[in-house]
Amino acid sequence: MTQRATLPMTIALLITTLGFATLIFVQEAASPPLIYGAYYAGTMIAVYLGVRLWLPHSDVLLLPIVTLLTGVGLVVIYRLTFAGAEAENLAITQAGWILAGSGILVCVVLFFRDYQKLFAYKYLLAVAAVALVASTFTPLGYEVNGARLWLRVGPATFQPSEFARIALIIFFAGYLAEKRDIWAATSRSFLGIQLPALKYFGPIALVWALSLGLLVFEKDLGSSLLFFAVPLLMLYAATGRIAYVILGTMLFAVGSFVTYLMFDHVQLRVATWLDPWSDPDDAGFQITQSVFNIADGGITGTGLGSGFSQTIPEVQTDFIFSTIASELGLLGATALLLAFLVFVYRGMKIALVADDDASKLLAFGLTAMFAMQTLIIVGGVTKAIPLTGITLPFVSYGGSSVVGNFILTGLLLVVSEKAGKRAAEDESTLYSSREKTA
Amino acid sequence: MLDLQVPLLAAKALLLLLLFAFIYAVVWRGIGDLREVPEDETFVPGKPDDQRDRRPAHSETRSAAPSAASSGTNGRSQNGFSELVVENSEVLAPSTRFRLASGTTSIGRSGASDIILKSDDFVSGKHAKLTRHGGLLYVEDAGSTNGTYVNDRKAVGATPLRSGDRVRVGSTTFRYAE
Repeated sequence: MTQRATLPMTIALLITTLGFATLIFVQEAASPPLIYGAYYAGTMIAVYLGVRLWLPHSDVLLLPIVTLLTGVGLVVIYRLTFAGAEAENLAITQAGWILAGSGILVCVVLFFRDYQKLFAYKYLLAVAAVALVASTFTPLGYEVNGARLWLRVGPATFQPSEFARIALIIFFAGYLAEKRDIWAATSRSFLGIQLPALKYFGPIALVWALSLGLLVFEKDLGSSLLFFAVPLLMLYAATGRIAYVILGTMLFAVGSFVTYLMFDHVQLRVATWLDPWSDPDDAGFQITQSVFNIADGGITGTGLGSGFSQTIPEVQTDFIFSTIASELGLLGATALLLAFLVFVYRGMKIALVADDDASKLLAFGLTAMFAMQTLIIVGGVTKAIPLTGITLPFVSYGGSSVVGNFILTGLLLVVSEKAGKRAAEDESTLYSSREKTA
Repeated sequence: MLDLQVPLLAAKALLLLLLFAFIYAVVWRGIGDLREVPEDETFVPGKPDDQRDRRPAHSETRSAAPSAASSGTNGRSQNGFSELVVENSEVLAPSTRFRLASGTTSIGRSGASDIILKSDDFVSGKHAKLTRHGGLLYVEDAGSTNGTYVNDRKAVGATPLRSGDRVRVGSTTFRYAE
């Protein structure tokens, strides 16, 4: 029997509609072309229904949550960029990216239903991931705000690291599932920590070090953090050995210290985090404005369109959470974080019920990345940890990020479909045997 | 000003309300699969045939039902206590019986375990534990490296055992008999 989640879908679209209605009312602006809103709602409903049709056993809650997150993101992006001349375009561009992401999600669902084939190409995917990250050093790459993360191919520009991540997680899932016994039980030790032989250790260490090193030189701190933490978490999930986490944390401490000494921009980030008020008009401007705006929101927020968060530089990408906390208040921000939490819970549940080790690790890795990304940016804008530029999944403005997260959701859906189908088959054989006895 | 403020305030409140309504709806659906596990298993000792018809608690135990029924009488132990009987092992003699006391029974390589699987490299120090709860025996992996298998399916969380089920730890397969 196909599960449905019509109610959450309806509420998510209602929230988006109400948000736009409030904004049009408050800003007394001419309404944006309403047809775009209709496109958006139509896209999400079509994707939801399509997935229910093609993958009837897949997880039913992921898409309603994606609808809520992208919807809230659209409302906030529209609110932030409406004033400017070219600004109105950003919400419309974002709607375009959501459409593209949904299209790719449908492709993943249709063509990668047998996703286990992907594990056969894991080394190719690892090479592709490193090549993608390295591609920004070619003449095609260019710098934005001092970080060389962008690639321009013809008219399209994108951030290759967003896609490299997913390829890397597939590689780690396939590789670790194949070799986990060796990683878990091994007798060689180094500094009191048992390590497997180099021939098993090598591929992982190489891919890990290469992607990390490249990112650090591209000055993409947020992605470096993700590329470091997610494989480590997957290694722990595969082996259950805390020693790897300890070793990884030690490596992280040494690595961060070395990058701190080597790069000025890392020193600046840490200094700004520790004391943004020493230079509130320049280096500390972004973070102090963010904290002021979050405080301004209070419990229930200033109401959509009434806050002042548009003063934060890069507010529609990295600092979108500040706007949400400012205009929807503690309650709204909490609700949004709860939505992220439910997404992560569903992802972990998919990992638990998935068929084999590689699928479990894939679902776990994708979910861990999603969770880490949210943690890093929300921690950054609330000044809990040093700020590293990264997007809030699905909410922030950004084409590569939105499309990448739609691919992630698509993969989670196909993994859950396979597990759900098996559970349903088990159940039906059980019922048929029951009829025989009766 | 009032005519402008009131609808705005209402819209703001409605938006927050809807956000939490969404969370409520999603969580309500999300915990559905936790509710599927019956609170109290209607288990009657000495009626193995009823067990077969009983809907299993969750997916991990689904494949357990047929083998439990097929072993019918040979799953019974002679003396009325529940036991683990060694079926196949590299480290223990076949047909060795372990009587399961009330409370928790631990399986592992370490000498502190109740059932010791010495010199089996695929067994962790503390590998699995068996707990009696509400008339049912549950097997649970105790964070072992290689996992605990019930009827060749990896046990995730506490898995209830039925008479005749096979529990595999490392190279050793036990048959559960009540």
